[in-house]
Amino acid sequence: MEALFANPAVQAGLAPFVAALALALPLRNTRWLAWSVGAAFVVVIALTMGFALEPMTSSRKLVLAGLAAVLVLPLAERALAASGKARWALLALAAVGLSAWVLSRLLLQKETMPALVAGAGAALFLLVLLDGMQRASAGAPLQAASASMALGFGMGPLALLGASAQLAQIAIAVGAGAAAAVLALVLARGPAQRGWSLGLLAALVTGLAGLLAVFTGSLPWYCLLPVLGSPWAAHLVAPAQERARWLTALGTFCAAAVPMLAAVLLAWFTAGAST
Amino acid sequence: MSRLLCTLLACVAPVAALAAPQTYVIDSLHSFPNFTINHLGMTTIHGRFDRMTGKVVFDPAARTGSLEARIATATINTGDAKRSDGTRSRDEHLRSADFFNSAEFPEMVFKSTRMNFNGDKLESIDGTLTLLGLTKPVKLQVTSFNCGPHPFSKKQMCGAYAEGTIKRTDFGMKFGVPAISDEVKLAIGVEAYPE
Repeated sequence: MEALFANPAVQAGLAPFVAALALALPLRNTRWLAWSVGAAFVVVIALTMGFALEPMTSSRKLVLAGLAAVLVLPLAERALAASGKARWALLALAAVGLSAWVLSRLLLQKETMPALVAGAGAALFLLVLLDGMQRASAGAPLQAASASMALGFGMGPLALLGASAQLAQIAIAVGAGAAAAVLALVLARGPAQRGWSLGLLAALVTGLAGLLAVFTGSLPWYCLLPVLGSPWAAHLVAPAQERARWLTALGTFCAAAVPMLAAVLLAWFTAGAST
Repeated sequence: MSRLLCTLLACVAPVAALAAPQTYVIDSLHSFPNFTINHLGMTTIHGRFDRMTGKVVFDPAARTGSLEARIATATINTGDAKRSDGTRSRDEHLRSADFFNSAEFPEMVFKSTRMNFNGDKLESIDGTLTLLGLTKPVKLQVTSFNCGPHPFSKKQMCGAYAEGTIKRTDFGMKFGVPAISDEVKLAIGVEAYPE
């Protein structure tokens, strides 16, 4: 059993998927559906890094930020669905606050101006990703879950190309959790309208993982730029009542996966070109 | 009486100078912290850090001293610095957040707390290692220690070789355990010249 849970594919894929599905099925038309992706996140952390707070590295801060988001996002789902300045302010606060906190020690290693530029860039990346996911999936949990699958399964290889297998596992687990949510929503009777905040959770965790792959690994920062297009691409697949839910999920995933694939190819060829 | 006092002082002064602790600066070009670690239960991977700086304060007469060594974690070298196929190398992986997290923790620091002598021979050094922001006690066994003039420049120098073992999970470095061993054997060679 120990050997089974030591397998990276089980740690990042199978175990998170099973845990997420166990929650996604009963929670599929509630705002707590985000807990399915949360369960996947918790499982991959439990099987890999563990929950020790020492040393408080940037990766451990990502874990704490993810856990906090699992608790807060479902509660804030209604507020976040509204358009307008309040929603934007909430997202901006989260993006700036979390990126500054997670990356603080890394930014402090730099000179003042480069640190400010890097910090601002990181906060802007996270804000645009969160905002894009909110616009693409508010009130549409199936779209949110499908787009989250693409984010997770795309950010995994990006983190790996940035030389961090740990961050890759976290991102892939988020993708696996979202896949479980997609399955639960496809199997459900009737469309669901609540639980879309799982998309924000996925965007937050994968966004932070991508940033850490840049700041602590070897991923060039510009490889994250296509990622910003992923939620917007998902938005192109409009939900349609007459269309089968699995088709909507597949279409949304494929659309959102295209920018992720572009990001991975950019990282691959950049790495090859630098040798 | 005052002449006697002056004579006594003149005799004591050189001895007092010899007994004073001497500060030595670590020669980075000839001092390397090396390590070995078991990989998959199959083989032993050897590596080292290419840059170590620091100071040794040593008083041979009093048989006391202290050592502070700073190791640049980004200089880790296991013979796999860059791959031609574009995939990330082992050294890049070791610098990432999975292992040494060099961007966030550019240095690890060894500070001695006690040097243990057996007669004139330095036997071991007790100290602490700060890695990934955590400080844990480490004991190094000194397998060789010598001070004398450099054969060419005739400059006074000291050199030592010390070995020890740490568990990387003690410092929160959990990735890959147990496939990549928790236990890491250290072997540190130091040459130092008076400041």
